[in-house]
Amino acid sequence: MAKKLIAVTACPTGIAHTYMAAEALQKAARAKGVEIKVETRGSVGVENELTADEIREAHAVILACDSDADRNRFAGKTVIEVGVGEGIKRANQLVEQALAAEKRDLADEVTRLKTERKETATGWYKHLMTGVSYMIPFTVAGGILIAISFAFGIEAFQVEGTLPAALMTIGGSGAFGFMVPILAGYIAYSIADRPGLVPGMVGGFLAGNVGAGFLGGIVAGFLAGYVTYYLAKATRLPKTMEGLKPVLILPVLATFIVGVLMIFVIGAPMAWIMTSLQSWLTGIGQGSAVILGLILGGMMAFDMGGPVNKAAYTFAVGLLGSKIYGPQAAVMAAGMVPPLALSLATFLAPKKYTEEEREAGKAAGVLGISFITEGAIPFAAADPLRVIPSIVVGSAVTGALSMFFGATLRAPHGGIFVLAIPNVVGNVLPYALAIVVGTVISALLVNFLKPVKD
Amino acid sequence: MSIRELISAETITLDLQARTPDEAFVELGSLLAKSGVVTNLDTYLSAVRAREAHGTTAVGFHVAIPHGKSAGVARAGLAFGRASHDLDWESMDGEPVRMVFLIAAPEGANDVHLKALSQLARQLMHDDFRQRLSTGTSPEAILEALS
Repeated sequence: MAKKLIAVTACPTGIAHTYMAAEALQKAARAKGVEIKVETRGSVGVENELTADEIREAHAVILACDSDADRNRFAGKTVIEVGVGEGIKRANQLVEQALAAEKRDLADEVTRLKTERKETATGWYKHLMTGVSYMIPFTVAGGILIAISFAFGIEAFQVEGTLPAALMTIGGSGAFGFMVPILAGYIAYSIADRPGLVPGMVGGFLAGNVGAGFLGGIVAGFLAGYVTYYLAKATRLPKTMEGLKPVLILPVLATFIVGVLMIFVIGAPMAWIMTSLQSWLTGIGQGSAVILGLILGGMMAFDMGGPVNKAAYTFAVGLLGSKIYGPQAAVMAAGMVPPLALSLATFLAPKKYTEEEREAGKAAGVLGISFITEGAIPFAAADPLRVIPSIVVGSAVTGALSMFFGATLRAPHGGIFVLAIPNVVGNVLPYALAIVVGTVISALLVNFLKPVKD
Repeated sequence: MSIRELISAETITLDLQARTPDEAFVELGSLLAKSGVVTNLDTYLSAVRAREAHGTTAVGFHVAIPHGKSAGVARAGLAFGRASHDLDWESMDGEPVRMVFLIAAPEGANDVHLKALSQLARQLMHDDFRQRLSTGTSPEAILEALS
């Protein structure tokens, strides 16, 4: 059987080099009598897209790309990777090199089966992971900068014009502000390609605005993705106006639909959920302290920034004014547990996490000790059904233990940095123990539930 | 849409005077204005300059393909200029620029100019095409090469 080659050419501005490299490769292959298909990823979008069959049958892959080529598709194949400029200058050598390369059959077959299974069974998983992987750097950058601000003193950021205040703005309003929009935007991007990005990011931003947190963001992302995807299929335009679709019609319509749904359907109940939870907590506050700690703890971990978490946190901070310091201690301890637990979990069982997650795990440890619960969001967003129950259990235990030990906290924030300040935390040692116990429970639980990655 | 449909003899000059990118924009832009492709030269040129500031369009092989999409453009069009000297233009392969294709696209024309660009880019890879561009002795010969 004659050898077939495939190639992808791409460059960030995509005006010319993508096509010059494509043409050069086709010319070189033609001169050798070899069949080649070249996918171009330029300013016009993806053209001549490679199919799964073509990838499987290809002898080798040439990537002449200065930007993303979606290279996961070629896992297991012989891939020759160069910049787009090389593709233009050295097309002949690249084609020769590709022909001389060994075709990898076994690995190829295994990956084929794997991707096939992944594609059919869990398409939504791929979309979710796309969103999460783009979000992780925002979480890490924002979280670490906020933690550095705390290192200057937990109240240092309140003095305007100082470096700690700037760090808080950069990390908190800046990087953290983008977390949920990026998550939602790239979930939608993964489903509907470029036109999905705007409705996704706007939907994610609105999820944050209406207080729906990252779970609201996931909803927004899928909503935006599928709305855009089906709008693209349903709208038929005359050929001359077809080009308006991805730049004008799809983004405007999809953003409008997603925005309205986020504000009126998702947003409206959020405030209601929060206030009802708070009055419910006030009722429980009269009863057993340990039960209150258990509930507050679980709530802190449940949606990390969503209405449930906010209700618990606001409730506890509100009590500080009445000189009741126990619930605040429970809330902070429980809020430290999710990132700490996931950090620990990635060290205990690295094989159950992607490489990105293992890296995020290291940062999550720093965020955990700083009471930046958001450090756990990438993990929870990637696998909510296993991660959320695990961290809720550990955080609930920590909250209950903190109340049981009679720990108190007079500061609304600060993580480990307040432990060093005299008289802010009451019963420091048992308090630290409560955090450790919850962390270990959550870490073991999540690793028990998670399958090994293949 | 083929490249040939975007260009006519009156938007071709084989005696490009420009020595800098900006002079080339103005010189070729004026040809497009004269032919009715560009209705507001200033707004069109500022789109071209903005694009060039974003990254050089001198793609190599002595060719630059600056382009702009603007409300000052009535219909998609293309101008070609060839100089007998080197232009002071930073190119991607370090070779001096001698030939310039200036592309104009009206607002709302989506990617018609990008399609034209990609076709041009593909043709540039063929020696005989470059040969004909650099040796053609009349606008008609250039049109011949582009069709």
